Amino acid sequence: MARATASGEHGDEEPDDHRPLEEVGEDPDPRFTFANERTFLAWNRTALALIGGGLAVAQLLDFQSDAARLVVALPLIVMGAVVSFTSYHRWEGNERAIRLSRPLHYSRLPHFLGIGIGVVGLLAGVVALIEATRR
Amino acid sequence: VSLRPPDAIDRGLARERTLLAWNRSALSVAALGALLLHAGRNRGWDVVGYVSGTALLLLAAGSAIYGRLLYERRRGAPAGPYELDRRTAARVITAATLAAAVVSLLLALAR
Repeated sequence: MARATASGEHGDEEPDDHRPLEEVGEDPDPRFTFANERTFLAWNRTALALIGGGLAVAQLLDFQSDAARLVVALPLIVMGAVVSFTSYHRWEGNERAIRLSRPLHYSRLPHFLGIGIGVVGLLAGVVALIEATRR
Repeated sequence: VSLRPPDAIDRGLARERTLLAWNRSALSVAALGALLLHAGRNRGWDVVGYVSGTALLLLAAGSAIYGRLLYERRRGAPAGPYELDRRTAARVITAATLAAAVVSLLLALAR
């Protein structure tokens, strides 16, 4: 099944080329493909959890102002969408890199997500405090 | 250096972890589907809730089946990593997640 490309062609096998995956490099050890797929699925579950969390916040938080509710809910849902979109592209990029026996690039997604969740947590705390003092 | 280890040490555990990952993903998709059904009714957007919730519940069933198919068909088969077109599967689940995000945004904004 391996469709090895001539080694001289490596120059134009950039990570962002758009050829179908099957035409890039050669079939890797299946375990790498499985690992990449699991990583994608784990990120996708993270995205689903963020979206579900945001929706739950929008449904369940009983704040006096809509703005307070949305300030917590909307960033979570948007982050979920970004994580989902980014993780697919990362999966495809990693798959190409694996097929070409190239190093995988670090992702800034964990950094972004950590900061994002931290900020939303702080926001939620501030909003809850403001709501508590209003009552 | 070959990246392929001797077959003797491959017990199919990576395949099994991937099956479990698909099952967990199916459960996550189903949970969000149930939440959308609930939120749709709550906001008086019954049709939106039913359509998006049911779609995600079906996708959850599909994901569990797809994971199982991957697990079954690849047992002992030579490496042909794209025979089942994982890219399409990844795209479908990503598109569904993005669509769910849009519906969730609308439901959050609805009053």
